[in-house]
Amino acid sequence: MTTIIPRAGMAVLAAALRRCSTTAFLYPRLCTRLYTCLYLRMRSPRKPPAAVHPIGRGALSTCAVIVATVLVGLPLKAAAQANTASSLFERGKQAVYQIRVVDVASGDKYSIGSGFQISEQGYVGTNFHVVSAFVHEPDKYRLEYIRHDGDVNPVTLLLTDVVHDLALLKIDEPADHYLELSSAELGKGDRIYSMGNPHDLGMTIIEGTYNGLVENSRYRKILFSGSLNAGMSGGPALDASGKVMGINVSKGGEQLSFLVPVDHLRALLAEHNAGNVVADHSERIRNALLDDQNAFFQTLLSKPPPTKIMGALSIPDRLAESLRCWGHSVDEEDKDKKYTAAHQHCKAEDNIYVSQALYIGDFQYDFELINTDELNRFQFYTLLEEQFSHPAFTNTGDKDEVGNFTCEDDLVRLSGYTWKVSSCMRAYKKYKGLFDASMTMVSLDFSNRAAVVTVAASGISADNAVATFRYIAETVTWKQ
Amino acid sequence: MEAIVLQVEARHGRVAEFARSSGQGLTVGRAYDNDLVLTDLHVAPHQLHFFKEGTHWFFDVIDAVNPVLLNKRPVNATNNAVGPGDEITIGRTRLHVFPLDHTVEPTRQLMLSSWLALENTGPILPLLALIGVSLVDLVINYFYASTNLKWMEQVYGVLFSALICAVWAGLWAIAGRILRHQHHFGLQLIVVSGFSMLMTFLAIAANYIAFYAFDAGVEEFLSWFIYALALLILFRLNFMIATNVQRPLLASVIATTTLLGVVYGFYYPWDDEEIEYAPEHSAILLPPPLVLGSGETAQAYFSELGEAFADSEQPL
Repeated sequence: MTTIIPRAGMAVLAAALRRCSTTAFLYPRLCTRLYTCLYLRMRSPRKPPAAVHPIGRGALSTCAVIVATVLVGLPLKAAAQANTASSLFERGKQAVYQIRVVDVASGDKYSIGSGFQISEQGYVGTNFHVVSAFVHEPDKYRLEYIRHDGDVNPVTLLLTDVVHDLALLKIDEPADHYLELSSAELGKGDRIYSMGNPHDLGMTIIEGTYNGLVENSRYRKILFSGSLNAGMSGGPALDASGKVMGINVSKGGEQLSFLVPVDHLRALLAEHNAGNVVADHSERIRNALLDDQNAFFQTLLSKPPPTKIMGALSIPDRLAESLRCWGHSVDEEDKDKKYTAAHQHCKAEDNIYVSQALYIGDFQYDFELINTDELNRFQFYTLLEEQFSHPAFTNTGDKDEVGNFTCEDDLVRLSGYTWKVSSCMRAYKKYKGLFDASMTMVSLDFSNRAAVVTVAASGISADNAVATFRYIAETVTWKQ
Repeated sequence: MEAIVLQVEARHGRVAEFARSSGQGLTVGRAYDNDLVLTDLHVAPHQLHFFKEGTHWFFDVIDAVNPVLLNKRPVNATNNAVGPGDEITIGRTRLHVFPLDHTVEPTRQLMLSSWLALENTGPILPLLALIGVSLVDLVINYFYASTNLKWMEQVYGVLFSALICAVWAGLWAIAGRILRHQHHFGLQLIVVSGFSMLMTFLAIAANYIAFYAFDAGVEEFLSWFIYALALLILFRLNFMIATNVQRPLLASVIATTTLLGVVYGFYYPWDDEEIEYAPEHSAILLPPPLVLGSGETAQAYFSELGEAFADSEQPL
């Protein structure tokens, strides 16, 4: 009977043996068995005496399994991954740069991010938000990049994709090595590696897990279970083969980060290769924002609204897959409240970064049904006045971005009932055709029950705002 | 000029003192044997002596410790001619010379004659007024606006309001004590209690008017307007009771404007560059059946909304 340990198994055992020299104090019994295994294999490669070698072939197999899964498995895997990260870093560092927005007047950096070379011609991908200060104020700032060896050079902005937070740059002295864009499909749980320059501390690589696309999101984003940090924005996320599968963009919490799928960068590059040259980046941003909101709201409005029943009220349900809806209620057990209420709230939790002073893309609506048996009609309507308000828009705090609100308030007859409807809007100053807009309406037909409806959207066109407000307003009906 | 009349200068609202010459002369000084006794310590016991020669009047300066000015210019020690309209400065006191036939303003009619004639109204009536108003406020606030049906919250609110009324009346009583030598605290308390009651009803009335305007600007204007109106009435009465100001309505307008201006400036600073985070909209709601009309059609409203969007767009 021959006792054959496959070559791969031998390699594993040999590696395990090396580790045993440092881990024997942790696994003394297993290491002892490992030494025994190897000793037997070397002493009697072909016919080990069964009597003398009680572990025999079966024992050797068992030994290999034990070693591979328990002793060697985890440390070796970590070592292999460390080797992967290490080799990816060594291969990738030449093609990954720190991107700097430099204040012209002071000559010092205003903001930093990362970027990476994606072609031998010197095209570089990064996030839009990394270069946005330059995009908005090209006379005040300039762009430059720093190689891994500290060499600083200027970089040119070619195209932006504000919706997906991407920008395409070009450098004049490209590195020999560049990162290829991946077309491979990854599975949840695959290891991926993100590179970047966190907090200006130097180029780093971090390892994490691919967890597919974010569900219920208006924009395609990859959920990366790893820890991105400020300064890594725009850096590449690599698969195990070293190809770019995403671009670092943001983080949502501990070990919860997001990547832009590389397809969008590929599209940007293709657009450039097709000869698209942009002279006015602001106009391109405006058009992109208009198109994006148009696509979202036209899709939403093209379908009859799904409805649900909330008490005596029929209301629109979740209008789009990307919305998240929540609910809560006030019941009789809350002794401080002299009313009962049911509340549904739906919200798109995606924003588009336009500038440090402006985020857009909010869309939310909520419905509140309030009943009372204890309040008289005056008290009840005082209560309603407290609920009848517009949401606050915190997407900007800059008067240079938006004008003041104007409102259109009136009594409106909807589905046979009277509502007081208030719609307010403020126009964007730099992006003509876009508004922050909200509508709130309250029913006025009953003395002891009422519905309050609120809708709000930032970065929406007038047509879409009016159509969406009407779409929701006309869907809310009292059950007969 | 048969005789002269000297007025010891008094600011508006204060009690003025007049002295009319008797016979051929008139003396002015701090000593009690003068015809016009002044209390200014910078005036000599016997300061001036007015005398008549023919139809003209003159004065001599008896004491030269402090200079005497006639129409802001130094005078001689003797024989300084003086006539109607002249102003004489002695120490920190100024005297104005009037002719005998100077026209005095018409008699004012007391608006609250029986109360104003009293030094004090006594504690019972003002206290009852304050309690009565507070109780009315309490009932209205509870049944109109309480959303948690907690009486004590309303009681605290009303007590605080009563405290403000008492402090206001007290301040005007001090003003009256200084300017008219009569505090009239009770009367001031009645007045400010009435103001509180007026405000309560005006606020409700303004709500009903503003509701039908469907305009946040109208709502805001009305709220300022009712405050201005009620304050005007309050100040008018406060001034009338506590001062002898010649134009109490004008004084009230100035006081109201100043007070509201300060409040307005506090809420809306001139250099306010703050951005609006939430829209100001027409927020007043009325319960059925007070809502008159059923409103416009959705088509009409949303058409107007589209136009409002277009109007709000600013040129780039």
